[in-house]
This record gives sequence, C-alpha cells and structure tokens, in this order.
Amino acid sequence: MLFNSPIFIFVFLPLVLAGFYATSRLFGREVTIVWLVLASLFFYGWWNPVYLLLMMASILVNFSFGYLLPRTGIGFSKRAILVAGILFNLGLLGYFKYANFFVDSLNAAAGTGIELAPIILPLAISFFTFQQIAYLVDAYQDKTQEYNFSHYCLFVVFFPQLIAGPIVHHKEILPQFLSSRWRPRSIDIAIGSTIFILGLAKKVVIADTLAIYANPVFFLADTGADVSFVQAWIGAFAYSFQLYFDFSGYTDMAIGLARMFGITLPLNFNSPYKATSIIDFWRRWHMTLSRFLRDYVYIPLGGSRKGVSQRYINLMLTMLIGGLWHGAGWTFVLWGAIHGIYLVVNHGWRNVYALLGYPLGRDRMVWQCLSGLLTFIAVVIAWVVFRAASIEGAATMLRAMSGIDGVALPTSWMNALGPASAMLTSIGVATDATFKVAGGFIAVAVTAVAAAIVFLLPNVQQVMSRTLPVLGSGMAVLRPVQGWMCWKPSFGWAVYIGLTATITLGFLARVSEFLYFQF
Amino acid sequence: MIKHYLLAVALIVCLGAFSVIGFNWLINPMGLFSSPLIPGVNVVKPNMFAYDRQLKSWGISKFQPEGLILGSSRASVGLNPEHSAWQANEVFNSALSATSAYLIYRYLRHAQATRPLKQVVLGLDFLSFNADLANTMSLDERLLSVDEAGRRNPDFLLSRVFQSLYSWNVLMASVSVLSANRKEVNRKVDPDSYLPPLARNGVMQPDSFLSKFWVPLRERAYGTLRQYLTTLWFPEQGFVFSDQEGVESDLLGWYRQTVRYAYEEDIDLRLFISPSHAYLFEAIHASGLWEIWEEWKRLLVAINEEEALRAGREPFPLWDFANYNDYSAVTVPMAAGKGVAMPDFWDVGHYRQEMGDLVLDRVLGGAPPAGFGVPLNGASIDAHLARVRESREAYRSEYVEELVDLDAALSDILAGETPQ
Repeated sequence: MLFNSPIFIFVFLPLVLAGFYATSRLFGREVTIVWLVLASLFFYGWWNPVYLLLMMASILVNFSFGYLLPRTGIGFSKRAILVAGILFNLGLLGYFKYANFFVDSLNAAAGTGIELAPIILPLAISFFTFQQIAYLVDAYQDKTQEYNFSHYCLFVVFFPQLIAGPIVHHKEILPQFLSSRWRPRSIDIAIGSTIFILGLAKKVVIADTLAIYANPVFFLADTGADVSFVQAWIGAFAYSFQLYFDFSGYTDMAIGLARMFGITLPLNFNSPYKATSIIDFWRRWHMTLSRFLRDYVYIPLGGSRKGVSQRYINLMLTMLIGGLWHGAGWTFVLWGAIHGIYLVVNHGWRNVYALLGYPLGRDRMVWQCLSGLLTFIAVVIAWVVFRAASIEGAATMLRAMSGIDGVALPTSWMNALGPASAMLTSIGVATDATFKVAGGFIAVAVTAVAAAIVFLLPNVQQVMSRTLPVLGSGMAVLRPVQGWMCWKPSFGWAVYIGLTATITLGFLARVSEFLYFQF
Repeated sequence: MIKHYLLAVALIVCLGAFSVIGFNWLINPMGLFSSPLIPGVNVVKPNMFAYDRQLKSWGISKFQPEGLILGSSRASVGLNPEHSAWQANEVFNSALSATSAYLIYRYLRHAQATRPLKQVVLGLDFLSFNADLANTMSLDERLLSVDEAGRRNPDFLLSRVFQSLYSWNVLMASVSVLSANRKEVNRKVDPDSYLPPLARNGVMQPDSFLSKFWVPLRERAYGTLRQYLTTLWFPEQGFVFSDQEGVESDLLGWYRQTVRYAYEEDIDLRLFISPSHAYLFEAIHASGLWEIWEEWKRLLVAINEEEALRAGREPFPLWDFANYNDYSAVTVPMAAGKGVAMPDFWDVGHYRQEMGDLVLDRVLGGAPPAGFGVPLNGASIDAHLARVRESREAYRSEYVEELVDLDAALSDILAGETPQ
C-alpha cells in the first residue's frame, strides 16, 4: 500500500487509527503495540504476502541474536555472535538485492554465462536490514536494553517508516513505546495530519508533475537518442527537484503518520539544496542514512583517526557503499564515487582554506550564495548519473549538458529573448528551428516554481517547528520560522491545509492523458 | 482549539471534494454516468479517444460482456457489438486507439475476470506490434481489475471512483466539455443523436476523422500516412517486434499469451487482420517495411497454429482483409468539402461500420461477398502473400497517374518534408 493511494488514506489509515484509540483506551499499551504490529504486517503484506515471511524471518533471527549478545557463556564469544548476525543480514541483502547484479557483472567481465532465476527484490529490505544491523552492533556494545519481542517487532515494522525511512534507531523509538505519556491525543492527530497533507502535496502535486518533464529526457538518453543542451539541463533540474520533493515528501508523510500515533521520528531532510558545501549537503539530505553510514561504516573503518589519506580512503569507501545501498547497479556505484570525490575535495579545500587563515562559517552572503550554487550544480550533475538507467545514458546526458556538441536554442526561445539573442549568438549559441523541448516553456516554468519553493520557502519541519515535529537531534539543527509562516491551529491555517488537501486529493488518481489518441 | 482546527480542515475538504465530485458527475465528460443531458452544458462530449483506456475499462465492468471486440481504433470505430451473428449475450467493443498486443492481452484478462467470455473478435494491426510505439505508452495499472498474471488489483474499486469523479484530469475534461457546449453549433445538437461511447456499447464515434473537411480527400490521406510513417511505424528507428528493455515489449510474445489464454479459458476467439485502403500498403512498401509486414503475417499464423497444437485443438480462424480487393484498391478522389468521403473508409486506415459488418459476416459467420477476407494457415500463407504482391503490381498498373502523386508524397514524408 502506498501512502498516496486512496485505499491507504481512506480505508487503512482511519481503521488503524480507530484501532489505536480503541485498544489504547480499552486494553492498554501491550495490546496497542500488538495491534500496530499486526496493522503494519498487513500494510507490508499487501504488496506480496510472501515478503512477509522473509521479513518475519529476519526479525526473528535478529531478535534472537540481540537476545544472545548480552548473554556470554553459552559457548560462543560475543564477537562471533555479532559477526554471524551481521553476515546473516548482509547475506540476506546480498542475495535478494545484489545477486543478479554481481552475476551480471561477473558475466560481463569474465565472459561467463552464469544464469540466476529472477529474484524479486523484497520491499524495504535495505531499510529493515540496516536498522537491525545497528541494533546488533549496539547490543554488542551493551548499548541496548532488554526489549520484549512485540516491542522489537514494532520498532522494525512500524508502517510509517518501514518502506522508505527515516532509518530509525532503536534508542530513539523503543523508549517512546514505553513512555507513560504515549497515548492517542487529538493534538497529535492535528499536527500529524497537517505534516502528512503537506508531504502528500509535495509528492503527488509537485514531484509527480516534475516527472512528466524529467522522464522523457532520460528516456531519450537511455535509448541512445540525441539530447540537446537545453533539454538535458531541463531534464536534470526537473529530476533533481522531483527527487527532492518525492523523497522528502514521502518522509514528511512518514513523520506525519507516526505523529498521528504519538510517535516522533528523526529529521531526514533539512532543505538539502540550500547547502553551501557537499559536507553540508550530506548533513541535510537523507540525514538518517548519513548518520547510519557515519556510525556503522565510516567510524568503524577508522574515520578520521588514522591520518588524512586514510580518512579520504574511508570517505570514498563509505560513499561507495552508500551508493550501492541505493540500488544494485553501476550507475549507483558511480554516483557514490562522485560524491566520495566531492567530499574529499571539500575536506581538502577546507584544509587549504584554514591554512590560508580564513575562518570557516563567517563568509559573506555573496560568497555563501556562490558556494550554494556550486554545490547545487555539483549535486545535480551527480543526480544525472543516479537517474540514468545505464552508464551510457548518463554519459549522453552529461555530454549534452557540457555543451561539447554545441548549444542551440529553439527559434521561439531566441525570438522571445529579443535583443539578448544577438548577444547569445555572438558567443556561439545557435538557433535550431527543428528542435522542440519536451514541455517547452511549461517545463521551464514548472521547474522554476519548484526551484522557488526549494530556495525561498522554509521546509515543512521548519513551518511546524513550534510543534516539535522531529526528535531533539533534528530540532537542534532546524532553523525555526516566525510569524505567519509558523503553523498554529488557527482558522487561517485550517483553510490553507483544507484547501491543500482538497487539491492534493484530486491528484491521487491522475491519469496521464493519452497522446496518440487518433489511432 | 485543536478540535475546531481538525473540524474546519475536515469540513473544507468535504465541501471541496463534494463540489468537484458533483460537478464532474453532472458534466459527465466521459459519459460514464446516467446524469441528465442538458443542451448547452454537457450534450456534446469531444475528445473521447483521449480517455478510451479509462472508459473501455469502465465499460467492461459495467456491461459485464460475454462477447468482446479487441483491437485498435479500426475495430473501435468499425465493429458493431450488435451485429446479428454474435453468439454471446452482451457484447462490448473494448478496442483501444493505438493499442499494443500487450494492452490487448491485459484488457482481455480484465474482461475475463469480470465475467467469463464466450466469444472474442480480435482485429490485428501491424502498429500494435511495434515495440518502439508500445514503449512510449505506459498502462495505468489502476485501470484494470487484474494484473498481468490475473491477480486481483485491490486498489481497483476505490481508484475507479477517484479516476472518474475526483481528479483534476476529470475536472479539466468537464471544463472543456462545458466550453465546447457553449459554442453555438453544439447547442443545437440533439441529445438522442449524440451518444457517448458507453451508450453505444463501446463503439467510438469517428468525429475526429471528419474534421478538416476543406482539405482535399487525397491530401487528407497523405496527412494520415505521415502519422503512420513518422509516429506509428517509426521507420527511422526501425520497426521492432520486441526490444531489450523489458518483457512488456515482446509483442509477439503477448499475442502468443492472448491466444494461449483463449485456449485455456475456452474462449471462442476469432482473429483477423484489419482491412485498410491500398494507400496504406503503398506506405508500407515505400518505407521498406513490406518484408517485415509479410513476416508479421507469417508469425501470426505460425503462433496461432503452435498454440493450437500445444492445446490439442483446431487453430482459431484467422482471416486476412489487408489485401487488394474491390473495397481497398479504389481511387481516392481529389475532392474536398463537407460530405465528401470515401465510400468504405473514414480515412485510409479506418473502415466504416458498413465494411465492419462485412468483416463480422465473414469472421462470425454470415453472408459476406465472395472473396472478401482470405483464411490464413501455415500451408497457404506463402501463396497468399505472393498473390498480394501480384495484386499490388496490378493495382499499380491500373492507377498509374494517381500513384505518381502518392509516390511523390510518400518520398517527401520519408525525406522529412511536407508533401505539397
């Protein structure tokens, strides 16, 4: 079930909420937890009930390892149990997510002809595997408490965060289930539903509209057709904003849904495109993944404790693993490598900057804007590799974006530019009468609106900051907004959220109009 | 305060939603509901082809047919569900414009899941087997009650409500219906004579083929051919039955699945290759696709017979109407104006319902003219294809002058220029 499907919004969610209120009032905490576990399992099994078996097996095994870890003296060392647990998780992930990729790569490299039966990727496996690895490592380091099985289950399967994060940490979620203050409250419904509606709007109104303009460009590039300079940039920008609104919108929905059930999730996106460096970007984009990679990959590798060169190697390795985590394909590995290089360059630059005697963080506005622009363009270039279906497709896009093959604008654009067109012509910009941009000015306008929202407006969590929408670590970095932009349960906000919801719900069933209707 | 906030949000959403739903129900832009027809408001419903995926799916659920018409827009405008030779109670025309072999299979399964089918007539078109074209179309899974493997789509019912009443697509369609009906010419349209497709068992009205009546008929034919050559067959990128990208575009594979499924479900399937005007065959020849076209016919026959063998049954009857005969090999007049038309075709690709009736006479059993429609089987296909080649020569020598013009137009289109 997707958060943006009518069946979720109008059937599943109201029923589960009603059950939450009823069990909580009539039977108390333990029954409520069991209810939420069952509802979450139903939510997950909706796609394919077979996945359920796999997830339940993963939970059972990890819970058992977590149970054994603090209990030494059963014949195995703690380290052996931890290694076995991690191997189990990586094995599961490796088989279901990466087996086909490795076999295909091996076949391509060594000319072998190994064939695997098609393996269907179980949903959310990357998320629940990472969450449980973190749990095992912490249990090994005696950082966990004793949890009972239903609590542990709910921590893993709680439906708001199950499919696409935020990647939650046991120490921030499990105590909330145990808190004496955990009960249904109408204030949580109000806050949660507001965040959910704003997230839903970001996903179905903005992201899905941008996709209309991004998809055809990447389709052309991936099928070997020519892509022009302007087309490629429109596609790249449209996709960059689409991905942000899609993913952060989904996270907002998750945060809002969890809040309806009285649970606060961690911050996952903090206006990442406003970052002024790549280091800053990774502190704002998919923050819970960055945190996981830092705590469970980068620091165990040695982090920055073993000298500068080892630090850069660790950074590269962490980003390569991060890239591969996103998907089993060489484009994702390359994307991770690009960001690894970006980070190394960024750290190197900071060192040089410090050596020159400039203090960090006291830059002028202009310098910050330029840094922000450079960071954004670097991120957009990397997203092209992330989005393309193949390395060749990515190369086609980047080549077109570089302008190596020439820069041409459609005649109508040149005409619209008036006197500026003469200047463009003088620097080598050509006019191409045959060339049409997919979507034309509408594509540009839609992308520009998305850009304005991203760069000029506060993000959803900032707007909601008065309600403490995310956990403390997130609240510490959120810059709250003041005045009318700050949400409060007023009539004005009710009208705005009500209208947003009315418009957004009309986009749930968007049918792309069929173009070849005459045949 | 919090309760007031929640109440206000809920009220606004309900008010907004019910206004949209009420308006869309009243205007009824796809003709799905039995809302009242009001002259000047919602009688004329243009642009129906743009919604055909949706309204045909809806129609199948509503009519629960025992007999089904499948195919492209040719079958959609040309085949009559009320023809007397049908051996099924309710018959629905679920043919889709620019369909692919994949969509044909999916709509067949949707109908079978709605009610077991007795008889299906499938009009086969070359364009439905072009993987390049199929790649450009994505099917909205929410429109069909079952998925590729026949599993129930649990979102189907609720999605249907949203897609027909509460979506901005429908609202935009309603607004355009409203503005079309404000026009003077449409205010006078008699509601009884202008029926939406669902009131005609799914048959689409070929109103969009009738526009541009001031253009000479022959030039209109060239315009149609350009669409085939530049869009539907994609001669530049090559016509391919399947590509590497995905299973969905193995179109002959989906045709095979369709035939196999009909055997498995005991459906009386009747296959035919759609009639077209001879101009279309000339376009196939000019674009270098003739051999692929012949190969396509051979493969249709071979797959049908292989599946019959696999099922231990007689092959389904497969008729070819795409040949030179008294209807297709005729002159296209130069004339222009309202009422000027070819006798048997709307345009060089789409046959009229009168010819559709003859096709159904042949395919379902009636009294068609002798020689109209050729039965195809493995033993006779090569001889048949040779006869078509010979007929082409005869046609070319009979219409020399007309074809000089056509050849010039085709070579202009293929060279990327507009024919004069």
